[in-house]
Amino acid sequence: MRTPRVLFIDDEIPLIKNLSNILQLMGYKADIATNGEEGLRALEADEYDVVVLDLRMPRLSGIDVLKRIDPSRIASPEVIIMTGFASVESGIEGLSHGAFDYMTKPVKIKDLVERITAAWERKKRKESGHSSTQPE
Amino acid sequence: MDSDRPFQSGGRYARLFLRFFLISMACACIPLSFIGLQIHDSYFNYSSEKMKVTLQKRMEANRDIIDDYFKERLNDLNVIMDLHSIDYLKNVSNLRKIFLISNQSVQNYEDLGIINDKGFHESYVGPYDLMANDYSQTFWFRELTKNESFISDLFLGYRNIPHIIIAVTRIENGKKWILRATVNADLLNSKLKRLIIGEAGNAFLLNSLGYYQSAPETEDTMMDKSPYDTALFDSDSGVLIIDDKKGGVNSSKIAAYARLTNPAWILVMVQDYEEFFSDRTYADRATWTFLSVSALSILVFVAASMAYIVAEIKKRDQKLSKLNVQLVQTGKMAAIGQLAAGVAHEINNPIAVIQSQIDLVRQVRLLGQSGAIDLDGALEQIESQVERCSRITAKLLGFSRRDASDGRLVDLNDNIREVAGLFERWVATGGIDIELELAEDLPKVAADSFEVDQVLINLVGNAVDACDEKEGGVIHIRTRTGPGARYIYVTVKDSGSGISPEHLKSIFDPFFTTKPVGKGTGLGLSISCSIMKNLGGEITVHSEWKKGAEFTLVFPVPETGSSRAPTANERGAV
Repeated sequence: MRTPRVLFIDDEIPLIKNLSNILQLMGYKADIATNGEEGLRALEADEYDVVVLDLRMPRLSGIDVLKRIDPSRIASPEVIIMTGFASVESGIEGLSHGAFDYMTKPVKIKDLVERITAAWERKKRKESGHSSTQPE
Repeated sequence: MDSDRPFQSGGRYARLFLRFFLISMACACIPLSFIGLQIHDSYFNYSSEKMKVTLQKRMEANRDIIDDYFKERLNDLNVIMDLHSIDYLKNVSNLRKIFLISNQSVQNYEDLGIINDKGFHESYVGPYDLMANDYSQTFWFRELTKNESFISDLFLGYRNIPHIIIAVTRIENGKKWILRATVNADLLNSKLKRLIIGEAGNAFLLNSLGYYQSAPETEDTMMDKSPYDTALFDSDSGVLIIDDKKGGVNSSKIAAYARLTNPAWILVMVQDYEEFFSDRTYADRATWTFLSVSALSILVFVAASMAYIVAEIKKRDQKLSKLNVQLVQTGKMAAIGQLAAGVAHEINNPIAVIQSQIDLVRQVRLLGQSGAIDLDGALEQIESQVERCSRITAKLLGFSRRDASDGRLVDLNDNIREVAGLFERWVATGGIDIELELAEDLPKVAADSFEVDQVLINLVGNAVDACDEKEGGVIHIRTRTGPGARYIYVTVKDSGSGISPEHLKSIFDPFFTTKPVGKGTGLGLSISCSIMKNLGGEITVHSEWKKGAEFTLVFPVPETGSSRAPTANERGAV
């Protein structure tokens, strides 16, 4: 059984380096992109199951990236928003654009892994085509 | 804040009172004047007509008395002629008897005589010696050859004294005889005197040519030509106004007249116009006095009620002012809240890095792969993130510490740098640049540093939001000293979405916001505005729709020579 493929998109480089290192140690495939454009290029080049996305980034914002990914498409990865800006509005905005879940920084690795797993489960159900698109 | 500020200029309320007072007085007194004029006009006309009619009626009645008097005299003479034969009357003692009887109760006649057809007295009773006089050529004798009776105008005759004669004729023994009597002119004069009304009144008789037939109460005497043109008295009776310009003084007179039947005289009464209408003038004056008293009482009432209203407005202004202070306080708390949210975001990032580092180390140890990690590098990273946190908190502490600087002199450049610093990372992630163009040697201003920050945070925050809408832009903050170093100008200019013209006039109103529900309180600019006003400065805006906005803050520079800023109390701060 394969492990999920995860892409971190955030301009807070030390954070996503650490998080991807941890996931790699756990046997996940984890990559990083330090801004929106880089993230979109990585998504085109490679196939990912889950994207962990920051909202406030220079030039292309997290919401813009989310719109381009469009998680409602079967081929698109599930998106988990991870932001330091603790406001309910930004979370609602993310979820309304199809994000799977919403987390505020700092995140505990245990919580992050749980959400990634849940998102991956949904991705798998979506692909097998016999499940609803409702998040669990 | 400054709750007493609107009352420092007591003149504002004095002016308000004056304005209210004048408007109310105009509202009350203009209709009152119209009513007064209306009453005056109708009463004046009505009473004038009434008085004129009364006067005319009276003149007619008096005319009738005089007419009757002459009729009675003619009747007397006719009776004498009818009762007695000419022979009887030719006897002087008989004629004297009749004369005495006729004058028994009233001295009606001065003399009495029988004149034959040659124009000589046959008999005569009276004080004059007229027996030798030939009357055949006199006007009245000639008149009596045509008529049966005659009443003369006033004339001098042989006796050379003004008198009136009344005569009747009778044919007897084929000859025409005349019974002639002289009427007592004094009796007529005393009758006329009773007609006189008022001090300047004058009643008299005129013949058809305008000569006095009675003694007028003027410098004129009987038989003089009167100044009145008899053509004026064209009806049976009437009332006229005569403009008498005697001696250059224009004194109008009122003249009432009535025409007698026999003789064809005119009874005239002339009175001073003002005197005649003195009752009416008195009534008119009473009306105006009443209206003046009414106006005066309105004045007192209006003054009292306006004083009450202005006092009430003053009270409300004070209350409003207090509310405004509370509003500013609320805004301050909102600004702190906004700031806290921003700071939380700032701090969450380094904490997240530290957390991830800890998780990484823990994971490595769990897997027993200690060699796979650079522990020193991890610790260094944690340390650098902790430093980042303390830099943020230091910045925040510096910010909050300045709250105690109320009333001191503030260097606006410092505040601008601090506020720009707070927004720095936030705007960097949104592709927004903040440019500072700060004048050197900027004079310090007397202000509450936290309030200045509050205004700046507000303006920069709005500028960031406006630029965010356009996805990037430039915020340019500039300080400069105005002419004469009396004011400092701070402009915050952005290249954002601008303010639409219809919103421009409301942006300083409380609770006005164009931000989505839950995002803006609508208090920021309103509070900024009152903060600037309380500093003695102002805030202005210039905006081009879709092209950006420019806010200018004007701070007054304290008078040179005062080494310290005014204290909180002196500025009326709360």
